[in-house]
Amino acid sequence: MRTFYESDIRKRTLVLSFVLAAWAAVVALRLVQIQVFGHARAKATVLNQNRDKIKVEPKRGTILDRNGEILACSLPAASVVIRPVEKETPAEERAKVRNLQALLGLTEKEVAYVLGRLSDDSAYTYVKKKISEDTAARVMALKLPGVDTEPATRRHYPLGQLAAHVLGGLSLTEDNRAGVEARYDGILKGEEGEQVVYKVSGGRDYQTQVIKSPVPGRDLVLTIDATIQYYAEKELVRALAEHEAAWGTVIVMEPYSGEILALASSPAYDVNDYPGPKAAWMNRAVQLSYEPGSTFKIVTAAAARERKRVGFTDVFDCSAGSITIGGLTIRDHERVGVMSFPKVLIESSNVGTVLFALRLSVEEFYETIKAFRFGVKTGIELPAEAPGRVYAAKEWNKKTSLPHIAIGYEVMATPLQILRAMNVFATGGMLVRPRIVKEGGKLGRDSAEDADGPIRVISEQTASDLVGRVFEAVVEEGTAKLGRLDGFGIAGKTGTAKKYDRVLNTYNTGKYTSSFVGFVPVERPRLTMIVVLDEPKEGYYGGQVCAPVFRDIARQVLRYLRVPPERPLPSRILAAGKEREKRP
Amino acid sequence: MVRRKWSPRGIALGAAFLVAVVGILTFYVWYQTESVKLGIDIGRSEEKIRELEKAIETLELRKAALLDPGRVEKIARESLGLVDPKDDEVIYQKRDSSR
Repeated sequence: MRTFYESDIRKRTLVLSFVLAAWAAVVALRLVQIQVFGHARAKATVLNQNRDKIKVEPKRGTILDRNGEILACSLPAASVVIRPVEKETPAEERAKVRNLQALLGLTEKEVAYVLGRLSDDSAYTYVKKKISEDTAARVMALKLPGVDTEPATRRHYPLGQLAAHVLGGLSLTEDNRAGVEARYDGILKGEEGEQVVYKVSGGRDYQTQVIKSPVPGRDLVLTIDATIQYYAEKELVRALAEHEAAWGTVIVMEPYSGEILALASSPAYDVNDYPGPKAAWMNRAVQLSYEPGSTFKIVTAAAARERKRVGFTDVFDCSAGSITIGGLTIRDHERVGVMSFPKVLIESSNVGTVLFALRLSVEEFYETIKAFRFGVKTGIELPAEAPGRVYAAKEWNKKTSLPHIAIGYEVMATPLQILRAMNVFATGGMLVRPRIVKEGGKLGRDSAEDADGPIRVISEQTASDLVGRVFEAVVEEGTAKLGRLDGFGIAGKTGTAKKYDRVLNTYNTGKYTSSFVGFVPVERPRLTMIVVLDEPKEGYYGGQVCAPVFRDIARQVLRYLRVPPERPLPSRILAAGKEREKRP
Repeated sequence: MVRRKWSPRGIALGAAFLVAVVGILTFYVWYQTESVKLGIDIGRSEEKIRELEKAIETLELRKAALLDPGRVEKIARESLGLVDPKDDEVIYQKRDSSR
């Protein structure tokens, strides 16, 4: 039999057990409520408060010139981020963002955006991207709760404006780019990494876990030579100022490899300030088509000579100073009389050119133009290249198109296409694809272009005959006399194209596009170059305004490349003469 | 009660065992300390490498900016008073074809 004490203890134990069980049941039910029914919400809240999954920017590849000089690189930078802080009042948030505004130079719009995101309780907001490391350090020194910096990179172009249109540029947000930065973005940018940042309630990071390491972008080596690019830009800017021209472009190419050594287009911009002024955006060397005028006569001459329709001793009567065909009157800049075939080109007579061009059929001439690949992109590795325009032969006006195209009208070409055409004569009849990327630019889609080797367009005989008997004389005694360079033979052709006014529907606008295209030295060409100036005011003939620019660039570049003169220098001959006189 | 007498061999064995244990423990502690120290040193070196790489990049960039052809020409002409040589003042050396 149980005693009184035994039954009391038993009773108490039962009561206590019941109370404990009830308490455990309440706790269990509460846990079920929180963890089962409120699981998704709680998990989201916790993750949001305690960690951020952020993208890690890879280091963008460096762009180098052919000698390894840095043209573009990525510098370490930082982005300022802000997170909401628990129990922070809107007034405190405003004060914090105003603090940042003063330091980071935020606009009112940017401040409003950040405050809006904070009031929406957005987990992570970029206040300012890609600031310098010094500024980032100053931000961190403020010790503002919820404000942090994360590593980033910023594009830098140490040579500023140099090769602006080749490099193109990259906007701060990297959503806008041009030039090789755009064309090779895929290989330059690398692959983004990913990491999780764990943080304390104040918003400060305490641990970073890398999920995927960023893969840096590949470097790109261009065919550009920074020094030659500098010479080209310097002389182009000087010529633009001297002749008050609207725009200008210079391209320097290695004849046999097609490697572009310099590509200058003006007006230009500082690539560090990309996109810069709108007027400077266009890379006129490859993106602008124009009616080339007399420089196109090199194609007409090639077509006529290749088909033996004209001999070097043939003469043409240009004494009238004009010729009318099918209602189209073509004039010479001055009356030149009766001239031989070479002289027609040396003096750039439009009438003479039309007379020998009329010995060709439309199909023959069109075939040659297409062989020179006019109307087709050259394939240079720059974005938005213009193909130019050549109407199909069947669309030509039966009477007027052939003579008009023969002197470089009714056909549109980019300066690069004209350069490529002249290069055919430098290489003895081979058409070479111009290229601007030397190494590191292998894209999948480039394989077809790479297979695009030199193509024979005209015979070696035709090329050497025209160079030796015509194009060299253009500089020695013809329209480009001002482009003569002591010690070197230059072969080239001038162009002074009247600009067409679409509104007035006439060529008589008094505006011209002047050009000179050629190569040097004649014997073993090292450079093929084109100089184009648009609407020059002080003199407008190609030989007057562009040939001297060609000469000045060629002199500096040949000296830089250590190409010795192929002919005796006039001063040396004089010096030798003086020495002889002194001898007894 | 009889007190057990330790034999010299037993004492020697015990001492050797003790020395071995102490030695192993000391080696273990030293090894751990060195490992940690090496780890710290490697970390510092890696940090140093990163810093030096960054410094190299900065210097290369500075070099590129200093070698800006425009800047070099300006200094040559304005500060040093250099001028372009005349055509007949340039001497071209023939390239050594044996190379």
